[in-house]
Amino acid sequence: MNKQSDNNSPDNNAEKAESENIAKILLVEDDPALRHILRNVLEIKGYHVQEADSKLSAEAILKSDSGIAVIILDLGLPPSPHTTVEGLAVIKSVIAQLHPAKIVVLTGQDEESSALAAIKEGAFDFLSKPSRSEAILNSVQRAVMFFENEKTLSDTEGLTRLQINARVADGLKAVREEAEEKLVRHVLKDTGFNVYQSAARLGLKRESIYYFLKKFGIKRDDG
Amino acid sequence: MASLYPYLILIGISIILATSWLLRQATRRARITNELVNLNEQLEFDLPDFLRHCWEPLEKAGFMGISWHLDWFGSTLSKTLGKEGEVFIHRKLEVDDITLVVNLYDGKRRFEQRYFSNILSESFFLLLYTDMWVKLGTVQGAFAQTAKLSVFLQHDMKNIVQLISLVADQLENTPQGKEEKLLNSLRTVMPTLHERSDRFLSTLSSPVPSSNMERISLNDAFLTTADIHELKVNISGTGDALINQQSLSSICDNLFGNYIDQNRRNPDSMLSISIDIKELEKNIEISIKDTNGSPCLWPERLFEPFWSEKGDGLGIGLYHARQLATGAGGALVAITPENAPMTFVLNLPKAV
Repeated sequence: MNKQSDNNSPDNNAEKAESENIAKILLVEDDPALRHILRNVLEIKGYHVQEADSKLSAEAILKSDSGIAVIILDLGLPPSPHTTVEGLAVIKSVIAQLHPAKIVVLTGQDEESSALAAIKEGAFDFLSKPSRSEAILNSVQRAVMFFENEKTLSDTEGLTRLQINARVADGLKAVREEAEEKLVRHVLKDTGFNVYQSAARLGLKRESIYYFLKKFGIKRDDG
Repeated sequence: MASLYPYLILIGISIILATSWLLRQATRRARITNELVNLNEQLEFDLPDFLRHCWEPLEKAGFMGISWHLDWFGSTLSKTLGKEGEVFIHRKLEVDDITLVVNLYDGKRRFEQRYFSNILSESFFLLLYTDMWVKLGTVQGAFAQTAKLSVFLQHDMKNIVQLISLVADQLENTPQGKEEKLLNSLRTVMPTLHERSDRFLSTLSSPVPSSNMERISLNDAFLTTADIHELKVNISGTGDALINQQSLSSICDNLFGNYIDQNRRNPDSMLSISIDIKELEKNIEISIKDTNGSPCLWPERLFEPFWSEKGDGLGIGLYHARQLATGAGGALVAITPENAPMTFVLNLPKAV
């Protein structure tokens, strides 16, 4: 499933302000009714909404559109809508592919354990169902702000935010390796898997990039 | 040689008498065993009840008495019936939270009588042990099913509440000029919400024989449910069934849901659902098949309640659909060839 909204032109000043909210939102929710009404809530605020009902359709949209700013994600997705397996897999996939989108989890799964797992995997915010539309919109707004700030920092100063989950007991080597892997993946993605350009950007020799490709098992299709 | 005949006849008569006596004893013991089995069944395999009522048949079998001590999930019960004696058969049976100690008192018996009493007592102990496992299985099954049901209902309920909450917020805060958009949205959402709520309720309640039977076009019913699931179906034939509207919706929903679940597990196979409606003399036969589907690996499990292929489903959809079809005076069966996709065949009473 991949549906794109048509933005209605605003009729008054307030709506004009809302229409400036052109950030792209990906709504990942398997309940069609809830997805529809959530889309409506977001579109009224001027957001540009795309929909997905499963991990696969979400990944397909994210692959084709790097401009998605926020993913509103239900953790319970088919084929296991009553567990958090698929939802957490979406978060892992987004983080692994270094997609810049911020993930706002909106789920009915067991709150405490799901929140912990989602945040650990890299979610930006966690909302439990039922949540008021105001709370959802506030969270989306914050996520969009972070997304845009990071984009600005990346464009102007070349800064890239990497998320690393580290255990102190694992020592510096594990952290360094995870950082290396994420940075190499990120640069390769940016350069369209051009090894020469990636090496130049990272200030490395091409051989080093090949070494990292082998070491971390990075393949062209990964990103 | 002739002088031996009287002895041979005497021996023959003795053998016949002994055999018939043994046969009578065996028949009597078999009847008592049968009585114990029937009693246990009448008492619905309830161990404490069975222990309270088992003395009568055992007494008939010639036992002197019985004493038992039962630890039943932490509560203890003890009883002695008949007389205690020096000769007894002792048995301790333990299954999880249930422990039973039984002494079955027997008099001093001859060889063959001791043999018969041993056979009967072993059958009796086996019944006691079976009752313990039946109880444990029931308790564990009930806990597992309740936990599973709770997870599923919670998920559906939270989605319904979330939807209502968002609709209420929207109705309260719709910006001027967006009313039409909201109305269109509600028109799309409400049928799904209705279907969700019905499914929620039908999961909570046990299927009962349908009431409020009405004439319903099967083509319309299947198409409506297919639309809700955003499924494309090819329907051939027409027919009207006499059935309760809610029951038919639930049957369609569960059948389509099964195909959707299979497709989600195997996304490479594209769903191609064909529905063939045939009018028979008194019934309407509806065959439903995903022509691109895979053969069913678990034909015997399809209608088993609380069983799902990957353990990720509630597992009552098809069970529920079959109960509803039967309650409506019809039937639901699955034809599961080894090398071809399965076909559901739904029979419903024809509206005349």
